[in-house]
Amino acid sequence: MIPGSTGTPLAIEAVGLRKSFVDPKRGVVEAVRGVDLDCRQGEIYGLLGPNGAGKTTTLRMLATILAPTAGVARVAGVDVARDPLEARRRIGFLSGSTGLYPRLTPRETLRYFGKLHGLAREVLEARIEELVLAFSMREFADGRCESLSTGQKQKVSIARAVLHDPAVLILDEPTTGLDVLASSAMIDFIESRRGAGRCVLFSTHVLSEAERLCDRIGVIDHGRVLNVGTQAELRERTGKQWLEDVFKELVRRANAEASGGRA
Amino acid sequence: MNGWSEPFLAVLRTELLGLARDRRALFSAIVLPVLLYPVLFFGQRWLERVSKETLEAKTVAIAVDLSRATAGTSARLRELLEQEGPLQFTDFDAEALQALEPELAKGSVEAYDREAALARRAFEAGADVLVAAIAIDEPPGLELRAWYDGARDLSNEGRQRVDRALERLYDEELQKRVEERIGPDPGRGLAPRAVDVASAEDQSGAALGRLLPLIAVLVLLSGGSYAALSTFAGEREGGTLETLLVQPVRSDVIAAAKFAAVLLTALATFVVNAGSILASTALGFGGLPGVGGPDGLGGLGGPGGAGLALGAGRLLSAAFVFLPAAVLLCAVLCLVCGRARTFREGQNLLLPLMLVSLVPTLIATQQDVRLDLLLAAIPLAGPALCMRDALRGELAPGLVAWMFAANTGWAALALARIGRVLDAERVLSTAGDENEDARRAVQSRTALRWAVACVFAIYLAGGALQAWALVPGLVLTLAVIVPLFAWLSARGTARRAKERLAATLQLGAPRAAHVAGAVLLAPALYQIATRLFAWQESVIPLPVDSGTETLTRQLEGLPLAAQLALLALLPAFGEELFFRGALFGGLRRDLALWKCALWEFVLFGAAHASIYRVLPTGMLGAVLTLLAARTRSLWPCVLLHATYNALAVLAGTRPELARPELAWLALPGLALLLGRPHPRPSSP
Repeated sequence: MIPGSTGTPLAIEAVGLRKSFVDPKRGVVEAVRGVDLDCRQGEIYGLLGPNGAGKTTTLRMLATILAPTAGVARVAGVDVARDPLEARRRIGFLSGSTGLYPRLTPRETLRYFGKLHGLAREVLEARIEELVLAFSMREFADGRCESLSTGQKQKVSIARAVLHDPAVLILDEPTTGLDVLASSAMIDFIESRRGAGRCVLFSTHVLSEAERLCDRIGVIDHGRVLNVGTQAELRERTGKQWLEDVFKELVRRANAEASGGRA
Repeated sequence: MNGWSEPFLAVLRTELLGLARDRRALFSAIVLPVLLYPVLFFGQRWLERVSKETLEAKTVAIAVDLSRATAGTSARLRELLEQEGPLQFTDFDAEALQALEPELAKGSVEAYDREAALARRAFEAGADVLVAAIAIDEPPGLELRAWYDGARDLSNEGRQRVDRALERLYDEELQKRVEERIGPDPGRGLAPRAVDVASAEDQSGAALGRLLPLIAVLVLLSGGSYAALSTFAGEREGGTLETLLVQPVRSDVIAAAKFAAVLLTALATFVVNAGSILASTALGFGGLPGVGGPDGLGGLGGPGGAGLALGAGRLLSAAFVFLPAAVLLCAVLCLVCGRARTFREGQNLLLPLMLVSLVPTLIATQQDVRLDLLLAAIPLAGPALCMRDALRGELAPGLVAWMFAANTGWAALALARIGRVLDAERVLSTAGDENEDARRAVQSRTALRWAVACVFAIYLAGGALQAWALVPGLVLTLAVIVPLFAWLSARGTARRAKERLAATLQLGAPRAAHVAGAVLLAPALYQIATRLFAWQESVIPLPVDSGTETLTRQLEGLPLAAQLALLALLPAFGEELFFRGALFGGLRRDLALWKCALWEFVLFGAAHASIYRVLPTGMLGAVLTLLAARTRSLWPCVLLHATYNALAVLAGTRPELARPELAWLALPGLALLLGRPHPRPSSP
């Protein structure tokens, strides 16, 4: 569907992704109603939308935590519904609300998740050392996570997400709850992944983050992707200068279309 | 691909590591019991001894006036009193008390008051007890009397010494006179000599068997619940669950490893607690409170109070037969904690569970309960009784095998669901929004209002119709009025929920297993209802009911098929359509299942227009609600209701249908119902 100019498989590919929950009280809730996505290697793709738009559910389906009700999604060529365990080996996942085990040390945390990924002992220990060095965690790598500062915890979480060097990094509102310094460290980290030729898909409702980082932006609302493109393309299509206005315009058009369709 | 064992062990190790580093858990599971029992036993024994010794060692002041007794009696009594403990004799003049005697003999209240005042004056002068020989007229002779002050420890102690001394004096006198009159005691050969054939091990086992099952459940619950809260609820509260679920490990393997951690923690807690109890007994610190034998200490210990008389064989087999209960308890703890989003929510959910699990266990602490086929199959009760019997050395192999099979079955049922505890679809459902919540609350309230209206309609219109003509009235009420209310109520709910009416009423086809399971429950429910009815009658005696019993009698003239149609089929359909269809269809939008069941209990009980049958019908209503929730279909409820009513109709003429043994059918019934969850309906 996207010109295969590079010849390599798409990092993330989703077609007609849908998710409905059966809530015993509310009946059927449609959280995602047909999302198409295509993210290339070395690309930072931002999913932009208000709270409750379906961002988290979409990312969770791509990360194989939730099974899609309909549609197909592939991560690095692996179908998430058919072979979720294999897909998970290619995914690093991190959400803004992620916690750490308070009574484990950062080193033990990394070792634990390395084992869950089935990494061999020597490979794992070498990788942990590498990450401790890369994220300058040496001075707190052996203290319990409960005694770490927010910034230190964040480093551990990021290290945990890239422990197995995944082809795709899926970040769900990664800067939520972080202060300015920690946010900026996270943004630097995301940019560094692009340099390493990896794909990052992240969701946010912070427009400035999307503006600064994203190669392409998908605007999502009410479980549907309203438009996808580079920032320049989105501006051109809507005739608006600021991303905020672009977003509002897209939502307005979608609503007009929906009511027009109904009439 | 790795096997499951490596990630399983990784999760298990990490969970145990986390628990071991939790100081609170470690303290309450290991340190506390190790210290608690010896301190408790030792302290209790020490206190007992101290209070006893101090009183016995105290000098009691006894004021005596034995001037009316013979010199021999007087001297002997003084001797005997002195043998009881340190004493200080003073003399006093009992003349005033003697003077009261004629009045006292007549029962004069005033004389009693004067007697008490006289005695009190003597106590104020320093005496603890008064002893005097008083001359009485009827029968003519002497009486030895003691006055004491029951509110003072020392006076009580003095009175006990006086009692003992007087008893011995009496025995000596009696012996002397018997020998004077008839020579040496001819009944000597008939004197009983009690020989306890129970070995020290049997005595210890019986004493421990009374308490250990209860302690085992309590300890497994406390150790296991902490671990379960920490591994399941704590994972969600700490925000680590989502991360764990994106690791390339199956979620059921993670859940199984977490369960293993909980089970190991609970078992370790039990071993430490039981070990501490046994060790402190063996080392002679004392026994379990209340277990003590005649020597006050020796329940667990052998003769002499110290040392452990119980063999390792009995202890090990007692622990072994309790294993299925431990697995079941831990599995249920995990299931409950898996539902909790936070620690606190988990604690709230666990409290009722703990109370419920104590009930069957308390059965085993009753002395006279014997293990039988039924009790052996009841979760916790069976293993608790087997543990008691194992400690007594009275295990019946057949019953134990059956207990093991049944309770392993219960544990397997719970374990089979553990794999789904961490099912992300369930755990990570999206958060609701406020408008939605408000809408759902309206749906529940509306359904509730319709239900109250419907109950009144049944009272008024139904009653009037049936008074006019019984059979047509019955048919009109159940086939027209009640379904009409159901339709009106459910239509509103369906419209608000934007779903089809059939979906609100749960009219979809049920699973065959659920239908069969529902029908199999009927005899057990009928038995429970009869018992509830009898119990209720014994608590609140009421005049003879004018409800269904008379109704049945009035319809007796009809052919059986017509009776069944009118009393079983028609009510089952009409009432289920309203109560489990429309009412539950509305209630479940907003209320937790137990609240739905409670409302159904109240309203279904009320609809049957008789205080008398509130308990049995309410119970039926609640059970049918749970059934509707479980099977997600109205039809199993209709079938169960019809079968239950048919049993009630037929019980009079066909007593074999009311046999209690038929209640056993509920076991396969429950297995069919609980066995496999209903598949999730796929959405459009």
